[in-house]
Amino acid sequence: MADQTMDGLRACIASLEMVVAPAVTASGDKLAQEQVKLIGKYLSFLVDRLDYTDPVARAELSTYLEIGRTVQASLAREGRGDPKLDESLADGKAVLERANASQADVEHPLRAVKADLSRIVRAMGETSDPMRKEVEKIVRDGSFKVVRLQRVWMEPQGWEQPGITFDIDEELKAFSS
Amino acid sequence: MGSNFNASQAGAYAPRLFFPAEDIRASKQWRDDPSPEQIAALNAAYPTEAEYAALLDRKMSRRNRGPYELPSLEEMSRCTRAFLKDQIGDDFTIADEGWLTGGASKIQFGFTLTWSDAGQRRTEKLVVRMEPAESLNATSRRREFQIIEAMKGSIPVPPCYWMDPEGEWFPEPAIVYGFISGVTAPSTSNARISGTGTTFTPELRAKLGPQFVEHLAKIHSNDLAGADLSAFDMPEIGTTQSAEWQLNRVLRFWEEDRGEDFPIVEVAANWLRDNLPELDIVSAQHGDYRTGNYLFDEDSGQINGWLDWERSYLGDRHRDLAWVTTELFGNVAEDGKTFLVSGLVPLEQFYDDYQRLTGFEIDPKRLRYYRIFNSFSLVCSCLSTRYRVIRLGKSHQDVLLSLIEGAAYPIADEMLRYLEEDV
Repeated sequence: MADQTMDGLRACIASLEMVVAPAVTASGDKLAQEQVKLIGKYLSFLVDRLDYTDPVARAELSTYLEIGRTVQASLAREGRGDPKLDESLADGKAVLERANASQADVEHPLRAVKADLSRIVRAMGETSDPMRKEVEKIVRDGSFKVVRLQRVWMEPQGWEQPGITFDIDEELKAFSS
Repeated sequence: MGSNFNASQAGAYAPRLFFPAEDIRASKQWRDDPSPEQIAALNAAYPTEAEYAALLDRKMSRRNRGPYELPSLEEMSRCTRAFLKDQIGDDFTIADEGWLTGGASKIQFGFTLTWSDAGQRRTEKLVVRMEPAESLNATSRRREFQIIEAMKGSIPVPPCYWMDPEGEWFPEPAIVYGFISGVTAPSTSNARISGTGTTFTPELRAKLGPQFVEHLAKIHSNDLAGADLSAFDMPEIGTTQSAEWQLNRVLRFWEEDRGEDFPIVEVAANWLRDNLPELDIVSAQHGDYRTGNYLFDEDSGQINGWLDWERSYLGDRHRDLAWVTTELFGNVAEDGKTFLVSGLVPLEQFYDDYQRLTGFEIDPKRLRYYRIFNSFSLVCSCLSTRYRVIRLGKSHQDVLLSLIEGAAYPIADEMLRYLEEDV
């Protein structure tokens, strides 16, 4: 069966613009008018981005695995590796080794790695752990890449400053290289 | 409780309190229906102002009540009439009822009231500003009412009439204040949601800019003498109490609401905890001082009133001063390089004028702390509370909130750049 989701979404947007919006405008209900515009905007965001869901999820997992491995290597150097993080990194690696892993495949290991990193950083912040600065720096430096990926994904929502644009295909190529 | 980590589960890296985000596809997460013990644990872990602590307890204890149902216009009309009857008696008429837009979180219902006030017949356009079941910011209508009252006569604010702080008459807590005419953005501007990124012509900037600085100076200089600010806690000068209350409030809702972990938030939280600044002077903070939260007359360039005081508190002026410089709230002038605070005033001029008008020092160290704190706070609310409200269908603005997710990341980038200097 051919996937016609995009055509369906475009039909919804057209219906909102051509039929629903004029009727709502005529009603004088300002809240409803605002919401019709917002629904159209969100549907347009989906049209722009749905095809990229899987590669973006894989790129995010790959970036967090990189951060996680670097953190784990630092901890292990001092004989203080985190067993739970080890497990999550192995799960994530196994998923990424599958050709074309989907967003659904990626979700579980991604959540686990993010939770492990968060837990380790929070725990270190509560003590005067000598490795704290090193671990925080790894997470901070790696997060620039994570944040950039999310900015690329979210660009159609319109939150970037004027003049800042991303080419999602090029960005994803850079991630995969 | 969910799956808190402890030493036996997580080896050496076991924080005192940490509830990892759960499966986003799970039909129920613990955060969707917390127990009284869980709520008490969160309250104890993150001490903050009493009114906020109570609000957050209330939010969590009512979370399992199911999706929000927007009251019908008829229901709002009925509630409004019953409320007014208990405030001013039977002798009034109401007309022009309808929903208003504006803001990402509160419900606004407009109407025209004619009534007798001290023997005089009056007709005013009024607004009921009411909570949905949950919103992007769990905030207090009592505080909003009190701070607007405190600012009366100092800067333009809507006249406050009555409040229903516990939601006895309305479905949720509400205030009734005067309608102010004006616009939040010029008709030619292509502002984003909530009025961020609004652009102005140089002519309009010349009119609005001086008022923008002057009003903030007046808010911060207001001695608050005689004002009823009983819903606010007064922080102690010479301590870090104020900064700590604000940080704990954010840490608490991050723990209560998030649907995903974001390790950089933990790095920022550590930095903020280590660098809490001491308070030198207590000032009223608007809390969301920026273009989009005032109404102005497009022809005259006159600011008619400041709205959205829901994030206000008593504390360090550097919080508001840093807030207005958030990149997302401003833009760059025609020369391509001058950053305009809120799209209105060049940054350096803004600080110079503020210091001249108030006589207050601007401390770069504290300004930097609050820049990191503000971006941290915005990232946390965009990624946690926003998500939870939508997941549970808790407001009338869930579709708008869906479109706010993208704001988190340019702000996170700004936070990272600030942290890069230190971490």
